Amino acid sequence: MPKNNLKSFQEQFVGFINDNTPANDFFKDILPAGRIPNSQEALEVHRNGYIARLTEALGETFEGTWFIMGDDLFFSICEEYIKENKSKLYNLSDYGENFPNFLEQRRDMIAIPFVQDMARFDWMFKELFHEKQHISIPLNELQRIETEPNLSLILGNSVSLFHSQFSIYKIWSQRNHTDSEMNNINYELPEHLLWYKQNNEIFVKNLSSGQFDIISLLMSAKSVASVLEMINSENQNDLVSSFQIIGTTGIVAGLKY
Amino acid sequence: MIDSLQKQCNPGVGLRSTHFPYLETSPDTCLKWFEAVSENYMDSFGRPRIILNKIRERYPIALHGVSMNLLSTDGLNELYLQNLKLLIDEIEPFIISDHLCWTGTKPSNIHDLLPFPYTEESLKIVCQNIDQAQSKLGRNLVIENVSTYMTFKQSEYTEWDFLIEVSKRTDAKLLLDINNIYVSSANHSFDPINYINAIPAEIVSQVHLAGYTDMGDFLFDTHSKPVYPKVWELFKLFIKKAPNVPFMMEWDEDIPEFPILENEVKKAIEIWKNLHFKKGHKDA
Repeated sequence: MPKNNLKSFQEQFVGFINDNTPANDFFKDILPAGRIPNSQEALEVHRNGYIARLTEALGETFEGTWFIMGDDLFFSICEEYIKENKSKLYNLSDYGENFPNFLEQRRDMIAIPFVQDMARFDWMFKELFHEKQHISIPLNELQRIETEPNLSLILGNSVSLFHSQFSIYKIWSQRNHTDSEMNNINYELPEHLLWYKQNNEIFVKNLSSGQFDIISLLMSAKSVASVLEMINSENQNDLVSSFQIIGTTGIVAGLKY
Repeated sequence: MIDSLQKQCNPGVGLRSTHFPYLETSPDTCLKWFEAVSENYMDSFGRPRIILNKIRERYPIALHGVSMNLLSTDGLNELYLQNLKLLIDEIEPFIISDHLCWTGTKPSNIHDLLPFPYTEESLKIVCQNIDQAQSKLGRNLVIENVSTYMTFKQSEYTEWDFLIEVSKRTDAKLLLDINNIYVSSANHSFDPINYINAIPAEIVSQVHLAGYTDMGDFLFDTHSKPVYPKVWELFKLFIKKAPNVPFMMEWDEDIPEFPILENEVKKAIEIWKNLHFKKGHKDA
Protein backbone atom coordinates (compact mmCIF):
# COMPACT_ATOMS: atom_id res chain seq x y z
CA MET A 1 0.00 0.00 0.00
CA PRO A 2 1.49 3.35 -0.96
CA LYS A 3 1.72 5.99 1.75
CA ASN A 4 -1.17 8.49 2.05
CA ASN A 5 -3.58 5.91 0.85
CA LEU A 6 -5.67 4.78 3.77
CA LYS A 7 -8.83 5.48 1.78
CA SER A 8 -7.77 3.22 -1.07
CA PHE A 9 -6.81 0.52 1.46
CA GLN A 10 -10.23 0.73 3.09
CA GLU A 11 -12.06 0.62 -0.23
CA GLN A 12 -10.17 -2.51 -1.29
CA PHE A 13 -10.82 -4.12 2.09
CA VAL A 14 -14.57 -3.41 1.85
CA GLY A 15 -14.54 -4.54 -1.79
CA PHE A 16 -13.15 -7.89 -0.69
CA ILE A 17 -15.75 -8.32 2.06
CA ASN A 18 -18.74 -7.20 0.00
CA ASP A 19 -17.91 -8.46 -3.46
CA ASN A 20 -14.90 -10.74 -3.08
CA THR A 21 -13.03 -8.37 -5.39
CA PRO A 22 -9.53 -9.79 -5.85
CA ALA A 23 -6.82 -7.27 -5.07
CA ASN A 24 -3.43 -8.91 -5.44
CA ASP A 25 -1.38 -5.78 -4.69
CA PHE A 26 -3.43 -5.28 -1.58
CA PHE A 27 -2.80 -8.82 -0.30
CA LYS A 28 0.98 -8.50 -0.36
CA ASP A 29 1.01 -5.82 2.32
CA ILE A 30 -0.95 -7.91 4.83
CA LEU A 31 0.80 -9.99 7.46
CA PRO A 32 -1.67 -12.65 8.64
CA ALA A 33 -2.01 -13.44 12.34
CA GLY A 34 -0.73 -16.61 14.01
CA ARG A 35 -0.73 -19.60 11.70
CA ILE A 36 -3.30 -18.18 9.26
CA PRO A 37 -1.74 -19.38 5.97
CA ASN A 38 -2.13 -16.26 3.84
CA SER A 39 -3.57 -12.75 3.51
CA GLN A 40 -6.74 -13.91 1.82
CA GLU A 41 -7.51 -16.25 4.73
CA ALA A 42 -6.89 -13.40 7.17
CA LEU A 43 -9.40 -11.26 5.28
CA GLU A 44 -11.84 -14.19 5.32
CA VAL A 45 -11.96 -13.85 9.13
CA HIS A 46 -13.61 -10.47 8.61
CA ARG A 47 -15.80 -11.57 5.72
CA ASN A 48 -17.13 -14.54 7.69
CA GLY A 49 -17.68 -12.23 10.63
CA TYR A 50 -19.67 -9.84 8.44
CA ILE A 51 -22.01 -12.59 7.21
CA ALA A 52 -22.35 -13.98 10.74
CA ARG A 53 -23.21 -10.61 12.31
CA LEU A 54 -25.81 -9.71 9.68
CA THR A 55 -27.32 -13.20 9.84
CA GLU A 56 -27.55 -12.84 13.60
CA ALA A 57 -29.22 -9.44 13.18
CA LEU A 58 -31.74 -10.89 10.70
CA GLY A 59 -32.35 -13.82 13.05
CA GLU A 60 -33.10 -11.48 15.94
CA THR A 61 -35.54 -9.40 13.92
CA PHE A 62 -37.14 -12.17 11.87
CA GLU A 63 -37.62 -14.67 14.67
CA GLY A 64 -40.98 -15.94 13.39
CA THR A 65 -39.71 -16.20 9.81
CA TRP A 66 -36.70 -18.20 11.02
CA PHE A 67 -39.04 -20.49 12.98
CA ILE A 68 -41.21 -21.37 9.98
CA MET A 69 -38.29 -21.68 7.54
CA GLY A 70 -36.04 -23.79 9.77
CA ASP A 71 -32.30 -23.23 10.28
CA ASP A 72 -30.89 -24.45 6.95
CA LEU A 73 -33.27 -22.58 4.67
CA PHE A 74 -33.23 -19.42 6.79
CA PHE A 75 -29.42 -19.26 6.94
CA SER A 76 -28.96 -19.87 3.22
CA ILE A 77 -31.59 -17.24 2.33
CA CYS A 78 -29.93 -14.81 4.74
CA GLU A 79 -26.57 -15.33 3.05
CA GLU A 80 -28.06 -14.57 -0.36
CA TYR A 81 -29.90 -11.55 1.02
CA ILE A 82 -26.73 -10.21 2.66
CA LYS A 83 -24.77 -10.57 -0.59
CA GLU A 84 -27.41 -8.58 -2.46
CA ASN A 85 -28.16 -6.04 0.26
CA LYS A 86 -25.14 -4.35 1.77
CA SER A 87 -25.57 -2.86 5.19
CA LYS A 88 -25.49 0.92 5.06
CA LEU A 89 -26.75 1.88 8.51
CA TYR A 90 -24.79 2.04 11.74
CA ASN A 91 -27.57 0.35 13.67
CA LEU A 92 -27.56 -3.40 13.02
CA SER A 93 -31.15 -3.81 14.18
CA ASP A 94 -32.29 -1.59 11.28
CA TYR A 95 -30.90 -4.10 8.77
CA GLY A 96 -33.44 -6.14 6.81
CA GLU A 97 -36.20 -3.66 6.00
CA ASN A 98 -36.72 -5.14 2.54
CA PHE A 99 -36.25 -8.77 3.64
CA PRO A 100 -40.05 -9.40 3.34
CA ASN A 101 -39.98 -8.21 -0.30
CA PHE A 102 -36.88 -10.29 -0.97
CA LEU A 103 -38.76 -13.37 0.25
CA GLU A 104 -41.76 -12.52 -1.91
CA GLN A 105 -39.61 -12.50 -5.02
CA ARG A 106 -38.18 -15.94 -4.28
CA ARG A 107 -39.89 -18.70 -6.21
CA ASP A 108 -38.67 -21.34 -3.77
CA MET A 109 -40.83 -19.70 -1.09
CA ILE A 110 -44.05 -20.83 -2.76
CA ALA A 111 -44.10 -23.83 -0.43
CA ILE A 112 -44.54 -21.46 2.51
CA PRO A 113 -47.24 -19.10 1.23
CA PHE A 114 -47.32 -16.99 4.40
CA VAL A 115 -43.56 -16.46 4.72
CA GLN A 116 -43.65 -12.88 3.45
CA ASP A 117 -46.51 -11.96 5.79
CA MET A 118 -44.59 -13.47 8.69
CA ALA A 119 -41.52 -11.39 7.76
CA ARG A 120 -43.70 -8.24 7.61
CA PHE A 121 -45.09 -9.16 11.01
CA ASP A 122 -41.60 -9.66 12.48
CA TRP A 123 -40.45 -6.29 11.14
CA MET A 124 -43.54 -4.54 12.47
CA PHE A 125 -43.00 -6.08 15.89
CA LYS A 126 -39.37 -4.91 15.92
CA GLU A 127 -40.40 -1.38 14.98
CA LEU A 128 -43.06 -1.25 17.68
CA PHE A 129 -40.69 -2.74 20.25
CA HIS A 130 -38.27 0.16 19.83
CA GLU A 131 -40.99 2.81 19.52
CA LYS A 132 -41.61 5.17 22.40
CA GLN A 133 -45.07 4.75 23.92
CA HIS A 134 -47.24 7.74 23.12
CA ILE A 135 -49.28 9.55 25.74
CA SER A 136 -52.96 8.65 25.32
CA ILE A 137 -55.57 11.35 25.63
CA PRO A 138 -57.89 10.95 28.62
CA LEU A 139 -61.24 9.29 28.02
CA ASN A 140 -63.24 12.44 28.80
CA GLU A 141 -61.24 14.30 26.14
CA LEU A 142 -61.92 11.52 23.65
CA GLN A 143 -65.66 11.84 24.35
CA ARG A 144 -65.60 15.25 22.62
CA ILE A 145 -66.10 13.38 19.33
CA GLU A 146 -69.71 12.70 20.38
CA THR A 147 -70.51 16.41 20.23
CA GLU A 148 -67.84 17.46 17.73
CA PRO A 149 -67.89 14.79 14.97
CA ASN A 150 -65.83 16.95 12.63
CA LEU A 151 -62.82 16.13 14.75
CA SER A 152 -60.42 13.50 13.51
CA LEU A 153 -58.31 11.21 15.67
CA ILE A 154 -54.54 11.40 15.90
CA LEU A 155 -53.45 7.85 16.49
CA GLY A 156 -50.36 7.38 18.66
CA ASN A 157 -46.97 6.43 17.21
CA SER A 158 -46.96 3.12 19.09
CA VAL A 159 -49.99 1.77 17.21
CA SER A 160 -50.03 -0.50 14.13
CA LEU A 161 -52.57 -2.45 12.15
CA PHE A 162 -51.75 -5.76 10.51
CA HIS A 163 -53.79 -7.85 8.13
CA SER A 164 -53.04 -11.22 6.55
CA GLN A 165 -54.97 -13.99 4.82
CA PHE A 166 -53.14 -16.36 7.17
CA SER A 167 -53.00 -16.89 10.95
CA ILE A 168 -49.63 -15.22 11.29
CA TYR A 169 -49.94 -14.15 14.92
CA LYS A 170 -51.04 -17.64 15.97
CA ILE A 171 -48.03 -19.18 14.28
CA TRP A 172 -45.67 -16.48 15.56
CA SER A 173 -46.88 -17.08 19.12
CA GLN A 174 -45.73 -20.69 18.77
CA ARG A 175 -42.21 -19.78 17.64
CA ASN A 176 -40.62 -21.06 20.84
CA HIS A 177 -42.68 -24.23 20.93
CA THR A 178 -42.46 -27.63 19.29
CA ASP A 179 -43.41 -28.58 15.75
CA SER A 180 -46.27 -30.77 17.00
CA GLU A 181 -48.00 -27.73 18.55
CA MET A 182 -47.51 -25.94 15.25
CA ASN A 183 -49.28 -28.75 13.42
CA ASN A 184 -52.48 -28.04 15.39
CA ILE A 185 -52.77 -24.54 13.96
CA ASN A 186 -55.16 -23.89 11.15
CA TYR A 187 -53.03 -21.31 9.43
CA GLU A 188 -55.55 -20.48 6.72
CA LEU A 189 -57.73 -18.25 8.90
CA PRO A 190 -57.42 -14.54 8.03
CA GLU A 191 -56.22 -12.20 10.76
CA HIS A 192 -56.92 -8.54 11.42
CA LEU A 193 -54.77 -7.22 14.26
CA LEU A 194 -54.36 -4.06 16.25
CA TRP A 195 -50.99 -3.62 17.93
CA TYR A 196 -50.45 -1.07 20.62
CA LYS A 197 -48.40 -0.31 23.69
CA GLN A 198 -49.76 0.10 27.19
CA ASN A 199 -47.56 0.41 30.29
CA ASN A 200 -44.61 -0.03 27.91
CA GLU A 201 -45.76 -3.53 26.96
CA ILE A 202 -46.86 -4.59 23.49
CA PHE A 203 -50.43 -5.86 23.16
CA VAL A 204 -52.10 -7.50 20.17
CA LYS A 205 -55.87 -7.42 19.75
CA ASN A 206 -57.77 -9.52 17.24
CA LEU A 207 -60.28 -7.41 15.28
CA SER A 208 -63.16 -8.34 13.02
CA SER A 209 -62.65 -7.26 9.42
CA GLY A 210 -65.31 -4.55 9.98
CA GLN A 211 -63.50 -3.18 13.05
CA PHE A 212 -60.23 -3.29 11.13
CA ASP A 213 -61.70 -1.24 8.29
CA ILE A 214 -63.20 1.35 10.64
CA ILE A 215 -60.01 1.80 12.65
CA SER A 216 -57.99 1.96 9.39
CA LEU A 217 -60.23 4.77 8.16
CA LEU A 218 -59.91 6.61 11.46
CA MET A 219 -56.14 6.17 11.29
CA SER A 220 -56.07 7.80 7.87
CA ALA A 221 -56.92 11.19 9.43
CA LYS A 222 -60.53 11.30 8.14
CA SER A 223 -62.97 13.07 10.44
CA VAL A 224 -65.20 10.93 12.62
CA ALA A 225 -68.25 12.30 10.75
CA SER A 226 -66.91 11.26 7.35
CA VAL A 227 -66.04 7.79 8.63
CA LEU A 228 -69.56 7.42 10.02
CA GLU A 229 -70.97 8.32 6.61
CA MET A 230 -68.88 5.62 4.97
CA ILE A 231 -70.08 2.88 7.28
CA ASN A 232 -73.29 1.20 6.20
CA SER A 233 -76.02 0.24 8.63
CA GLU A 234 -74.99 -3.44 8.63
CA ASN A 235 -71.74 -2.46 10.32
CA GLN A 236 -73.30 -0.62 13.25
CA ASN A 237 -72.16 -3.29 15.72
CA ASP A 238 -68.60 -3.03 14.46
CA LEU A 239 -68.82 0.74 14.74
CA VAL A 240 -69.84 0.65 18.39
CA SER A 241 -67.24 -1.96 19.29
CA SER A 242 -64.51 -0.10 17.36
CA PHE A 243 -65.05 3.00 19.46
CA GLN A 244 -65.04 0.84 22.59
CA ILE A 245 -61.69 -0.60 21.52
CA ILE A 246 -60.34 2.87 20.79
CA GLY A 247 -61.39 3.96 24.26
CA THR A 248 -59.94 1.02 26.16
CA THR A 249 -56.66 0.60 24.29
CA GLY A 250 -55.55 4.22 24.58
CA ILE A 251 -54.43 4.31 20.95
CA VAL A 252 -55.50 7.94 20.44
CA ALA A 253 -52.85 10.55 21.16
CA GLY A 254 -54.85 13.63 20.19
CA LEU A 255 -57.77 15.19 18.31
CA LYS A 256 -57.68 17.71 15.50
CA TYR A 257 -60.06 19.64 13.24
CA MET B 1 2.26 6.69 45.07
CA ILE B 2 -1.44 6.39 45.94
CA ASP B 3 -2.00 5.65 49.60
CA SER B 4 -3.85 2.35 50.08
CA LEU B 5 -6.69 4.16 51.91
CA GLN B 6 -7.38 6.19 48.78
CA LYS B 7 -7.57 3.13 46.59
CA GLN B 8 -11.00 2.29 45.21
CA CYS B 9 -12.01 -0.97 43.61
CA ASN B 10 -14.31 -0.10 40.68
CA PRO B 11 -15.84 -3.25 39.17
CA GLY B 12 -18.51 -3.20 36.44
CA VAL B 13 -20.08 -5.41 33.78
CA GLY B 14 -21.45 -5.01 30.29
CA LEU B 15 -25.23 -4.59 30.38
CA ARG B 16 -26.90 -7.20 28.15
CA SER B 17 -30.61 -7.60 27.37
CA THR B 18 -30.62 -11.26 28.50
CA HIS B 19 -30.04 -9.95 32.03
CA PHE B 20 -32.83 -7.35 31.96
CA PRO B 21 -35.41 -9.57 33.74
CA TYR B 22 -32.93 -10.35 36.52
CA LEU B 23 -31.80 -6.74 36.92
CA GLU B 24 -35.39 -5.48 36.97
CA THR B 25 -35.77 -7.18 40.34
CA SER B 26 -33.12 -4.71 41.60
CA PRO B 27 -30.86 -7.29 43.20
CA ASP B 28 -27.85 -6.29 45.25
CA THR B 29 -24.72 -6.76 43.18
CA CYS B 30 -21.00 -6.47 43.74
CA LEU B 31 -20.86 -3.88 40.95
CA LYS B 32 -20.27 -0.17 41.06
CA TRP B 33 -21.31 0.59 37.48
CA PHE B 34 -22.57 -0.84 34.18
CA GLU B 35 -21.32 -0.38 30.64
CA ALA B 36 -24.02 -0.12 27.94
CA VAL B 37 -23.37 -0.51 24.21
CA SER B 38 -24.45 2.90 22.87
CA GLU B 39 -25.95 1.61 19.61
CA ASN B 40 -28.32 -0.72 21.48
CA TYR B 41 -30.03 2.30 23.06
CA MET B 42 -29.44 5.29 20.77
CA ASP B 43 -32.29 4.49 18.39
CA SER B 44 -34.49 2.54 20.77
CA PHE B 45 -37.15 4.32 22.76
CA GLY B 46 -38.83 1.12 23.92
CA ARG B 47 -37.93 -1.41 26.57
CA PRO B 48 -34.10 -1.26 26.22
CA ARG B 49 -34.05 2.50 26.83
CA ILE B 50 -36.53 2.20 29.72
CA ILE B 51 -34.41 -0.46 31.42
CA LEU B 52 -31.23 1.55 30.86
CA ASN B 53 -32.83 4.54 32.58
CA LYS B 54 -33.98 2.33 35.48
CA ILE B 55 -30.47 0.97 35.95
CA ARG B 56 -29.09 4.50 35.70
CA GLU B 57 -31.18 5.39 38.77
CA ARG B 58 -29.03 2.98 40.80
CA TYR B 59 -25.69 2.88 39.00
CA PRO B 60 -23.34 5.10 36.98
CA ILE B 61 -23.26 4.13 33.30
CA ALA B 62 -20.40 4.07 30.80
CA LEU B 63 -21.51 4.30 27.17
CA HIS B 64 -19.44 2.11 24.88
CA GLY B 65 -19.81 2.49 21.12
CA VAL B 66 -18.93 0.12 18.29
CA SER B 67 -19.83 2.24 15.25
CA MET B 68 -18.22 5.66 15.54
CA ASN B 69 -15.77 4.63 12.81
CA LEU B 70 -12.87 6.67 14.16
CA LEU B 71 -10.50 5.68 11.33
CA SER B 72 -13.03 6.70 8.70
CA THR B 73 -11.52 8.50 5.73
CA ASP B 74 -14.99 9.85 4.87
CA GLY B 75 -15.41 11.81 8.11
CA LEU B 76 -17.75 10.85 10.92
CA ASN B 77 -21.46 10.19 10.53
CA GLU B 78 -23.24 13.35 11.73
CA LEU B 79 -26.51 11.54 12.44
CA TYR B 80 -24.66 9.03 14.59
CA LEU B 81 -23.03 11.78 16.63
CA GLN B 82 -26.33 13.61 16.95
CA ASN B 83 -28.17 10.54 18.27
CA LEU B 84 -25.30 9.64 20.58
CA LYS B 85 -25.34 13.17 21.98
CA LEU B 86 -29.06 12.85 22.79
CA LEU B 87 -28.38 9.60 24.64
CA ILE B 88 -25.45 11.17 26.48
CA ASP B 89 -27.61 14.11 27.60
CA GLU B 90 -30.22 11.68 28.92
CA ILE B 91 -27.97 9.11 30.62
CA GLU B 92 -25.08 11.35 31.70
CA PRO B 93 -22.48 8.60 31.42
CA PHE B 94 -19.22 8.87 33.31
CA ILE B 95 -17.33 7.48 30.29
CA ILE B 96 -17.97 7.60 26.54
CA SER B 97 -15.82 5.16 24.64
CA ASP B 98 -15.33 3.65 21.20
CA HIS B 99 -12.68 1.66 19.39
CA LEU B 100 -9.44 2.42 17.61
CA CYS B 101 -10.61 1.03 14.30
CA TRP B 102 -12.75 1.69 11.24
CA THR B 103 -16.10 0.04 10.52
CA GLY B 104 -16.75 0.71 6.82
CA THR B 105 -16.51 3.16 3.94
CA LYS B 106 -19.43 5.20 2.65
CA PRO B 107 -22.03 3.89 2.03
CA SER B 108 -21.17 0.43 3.42
CA ASN B 109 -21.07 -0.54 7.05
CA ILE B 110 -19.20 -3.74 7.83
CA HIS B 111 -20.15 -3.76 11.54
CA ASP B 112 -16.71 -4.94 12.52
CA LEU B 113 -13.72 -3.46 14.35
CA LEU B 114 -11.39 -3.39 11.36
CA PRO B 115 -7.59 -3.16 11.42
CA PHE B 116 -5.41 -0.56 9.71
CA PRO B 117 -1.72 0.23 9.36
CA TYR B 118 -0.23 2.29 12.18
CA THR B 119 1.11 5.11 10.00
CA GLU B 120 1.39 8.88 10.30
CA GLU B 121 -1.51 9.19 7.85
CA SER B 122 -3.74 6.99 10.03
CA LEU B 123 -2.71 8.95 13.08
CA LYS B 124 -3.71 12.26 11.48
CA ILE B 125 -7.08 10.87 10.39
CA VAL B 126 -7.97 9.33 13.73
CA CYS B 127 -6.93 12.46 15.65
CA GLN B 128 -8.99 14.65 13.32
CA ASN B 129 -12.03 12.41 13.82
CA ILE B 130 -11.59 12.24 17.60
CA ASP B 131 -11.34 16.04 17.71
CA GLN B 132 -14.55 16.29 15.69
CA ALA B 133 -16.39 13.82 17.95
CA GLN B 134 -15.16 15.43 21.15
CA SER B 135 -16.19 18.85 19.96
CA LYS B 136 -19.65 17.65 18.85
CA LEU B 137 -20.26 15.63 22.03
CA GLY B 138 -18.71 18.17 24.36
CA ARG B 139 -16.87 15.39 26.16
CA ASN B 140 -13.54 13.63 25.93
CA LEU B 141 -13.60 10.20 24.37
CA VAL B 142 -12.01 7.05 25.71
CA ILE B 143 -10.42 4.89 23.01
CA GLU B 144 -10.16 1.10 23.13
CA ASN B 145 -7.51 -1.13 21.56
CA VAL B 146 -9.01 -3.97 19.47
CA SER B 147 -7.97 -7.54 18.73
CA THR B 148 -6.48 -7.93 15.27
CA TYR B 149 -6.01 -10.82 12.87
CA MET B 150 -3.54 -9.14 10.54
CA THR B 151 -0.88 -6.45 10.64
CA PHE B 152 0.58 -4.37 7.80
CA LYS B 153 4.06 -3.95 6.38
CA GLN B 154 3.56 -0.17 6.25
CA SER B 155 3.07 0.28 9.99
CA GLU B 156 5.45 2.87 11.41
CA TYR B 157 4.32 2.55 15.05
CA THR B 158 3.69 -0.29 17.46
CA GLU B 159 0.05 -0.44 18.52
CA TRP B 160 0.83 0.89 22.01
CA ASP B 161 2.95 3.78 20.73
CA PHE B 162 0.17 4.63 18.30
CA LEU B 163 -2.40 4.67 21.14
CA ILE B 164 -0.18 6.79 23.37
CA GLU B 165 0.33 9.26 20.52
CA VAL B 166 -3.43 9.43 19.87
CA SER B 167 -4.02 10.23 23.52
CA LYS B 168 -1.24 12.84 23.53
CA ARG B 169 -2.57 14.63 20.45
CA THR B 170 -6.30 14.58 21.33
CA ASP B 171 -6.49 14.41 25.14
CA ALA B 172 -8.63 11.29 24.69
CA LYS B 173 -8.00 8.66 27.36
CA LEU B 174 -7.63 4.95 26.78
CA LEU B 175 -9.82 1.96 27.45
CA LEU B 176 -7.31 -0.82 27.82
CA ASP B 177 -8.79 -4.15 26.81
CA ILE B 178 -6.45 -6.62 28.47
CA ASN B 179 -7.96 -9.58 26.60
CA ASN B 180 -7.40 -7.80 23.28
CA ILE B 181 -3.79 -7.12 24.19
CA TYR B 182 -3.29 -10.80 24.92
CA VAL B 183 -5.11 -11.96 21.76
CA SER B 184 -3.12 -9.59 19.52
CA SER B 185 0.16 -10.49 21.24
CA ALA B 186 -0.45 -14.19 20.58
CA ASN B 187 -1.58 -13.47 17.01
CA HIS B 188 1.34 -11.21 16.13
CA SER B 189 4.08 -12.63 18.37
CA PHE B 190 4.88 -9.69 20.61
CA ASP B 191 5.33 -9.62 24.37
CA PRO B 192 2.10 -8.33 26.00
CA ILE B 193 4.10 -7.27 29.07
CA ASN B 194 5.93 -4.68 26.95
CA TYR B 195 2.54 -3.34 25.89
CA ILE B 196 1.22 -3.11 29.48
CA ASN B 197 4.46 -1.56 30.73
CA ALA B 198 4.51 1.04 27.96
CA ILE B 199 1.02 2.41 28.67
CA PRO B 200 1.11 5.18 31.31
CA ALA B 201 -1.51 4.52 34.01
CA GLU B 202 -2.68 8.14 34.01
CA ILE B 203 -3.98 7.98 30.43
CA VAL B 204 -6.16 4.92 31.08
CA SER B 205 -9.77 5.55 32.17
CA GLN B 206 -11.12 2.03 31.95
CA VAL B 207 -10.13 -1.62 31.60
CA HIS B 208 -11.96 -4.44 29.82
CA LEU B 209 -11.72 -8.14 30.62
CA ALA B 210 -13.16 -10.96 28.50
CA GLY B 211 -12.53 -14.45 27.18
CA TYR B 212 -11.30 -15.37 23.72
CA THR B 213 -11.66 -18.49 21.58
CA ASP B 214 -8.70 -20.48 20.33
CA MET B 215 -9.42 -21.10 16.63
CA GLY B 216 -6.34 -23.30 16.14
CA ASP B 217 -4.55 -20.98 13.72
CA PHE B 218 -5.20 -17.84 15.76
CA LEU B 219 -6.96 -16.46 18.83
CA PHE B 220 -10.35 -14.86 18.21
CA ASP B 221 -11.91 -12.19 20.41
CA THR B 222 -15.34 -13.72 21.03
CA HIS B 223 -16.26 -12.58 24.56
CA SER B 224 -17.74 -16.03 24.97
CA LYS B 225 -15.70 -17.53 27.79
CA PRO B 226 -14.30 -16.84 31.24
CA VAL B 227 -11.09 -14.83 31.44
CA TYR B 228 -7.99 -16.93 30.75
CA PRO B 229 -5.17 -17.19 33.37
CA LYS B 230 -2.66 -15.30 31.20
CA VAL B 231 -5.13 -12.43 30.83
CA TRP B 232 -5.61 -12.34 34.61
CA GLU B 233 -1.82 -12.05 34.95
CA LEU B 234 -1.76 -9.04 32.63
CA PHE B 235 -4.70 -7.52 34.48
CA LYS B 236 -2.81 -7.90 37.74
CA LEU B 237 0.20 -6.21 36.20
CA PHE B 238 -1.80 -3.24 35.03
CA ILE B 239 -4.02 -2.61 38.07
CA LYS B 240 -0.92 -2.72 40.23
CA LYS B 241 0.01 0.61 38.68
CA ALA B 242 -3.58 1.86 38.19
CA PRO B 243 -5.51 0.79 41.33
CA ASN B 244 -8.48 3.10 40.85
CA VAL B 245 -9.16 2.36 37.22
CA PRO B 246 -12.73 1.08 36.62
CA PHE B 247 -12.59 -2.45 35.23
CA MET B 248 -15.36 -4.56 33.77
CA MET B 249 -16.27 -7.93 32.34
CA GLU B 250 -17.58 -8.25 28.78
CA TRP B 251 -19.57 -11.32 27.78
CA ASP B 252 -21.38 -11.29 24.42
CA GLU B 253 -21.79 -14.86 23.22
CA ASP B 254 -23.10 -17.85 25.20
CA ILE B 255 -23.94 -15.32 27.89
CA PRO B 256 -24.26 -17.00 31.30
CA GLU B 257 -26.80 -16.23 34.03
CA PHE B 258 -26.07 -12.94 35.75
CA PRO B 259 -24.78 -14.48 39.02
CA ILE B 260 -22.21 -16.49 37.02
CA LEU B 261 -21.06 -13.33 35.28
CA GLU B 262 -20.91 -11.62 38.65
CA ASN B 263 -18.73 -14.46 39.99
CA GLU B 264 -16.26 -13.73 37.20
CA VAL B 265 -16.18 -10.09 38.33
CA LYS B 266 -15.61 -11.28 41.90
CA LYS B 267 -12.42 -13.00 40.72
CA ALA B 268 -11.20 -9.62 39.50
CA ILE B 269 -12.20 -8.02 42.81
CA GLU B 270 -10.25 -10.71 44.65
CA ILE B 271 -7.16 -10.04 42.55
CA TRP B 272 -7.57 -6.32 43.22
CA LYS B 273 -7.92 -6.90 46.97
CA ASN B 274 -4.89 -9.14 47.13
CA LEU B 275 -2.85 -6.42 45.48
CA HIS B 276 -4.18 -3.33 47.19
CA PHE B 277 -6.06 -4.19 50.34
CA LYS B 278 -3.85 -4.84 53.31
CA LYS B 279 -4.91 -6.03 56.78
CA GLY B 280 -5.94 -3.22 59.10
CA HIS B 281 -7.34 -0.99 56.39
CA LYS B 282 -10.97 -0.18 55.91
CA ASP B 283 -12.85 -2.22 53.37
CA ALA B 284 -12.47 -0.76 49.90
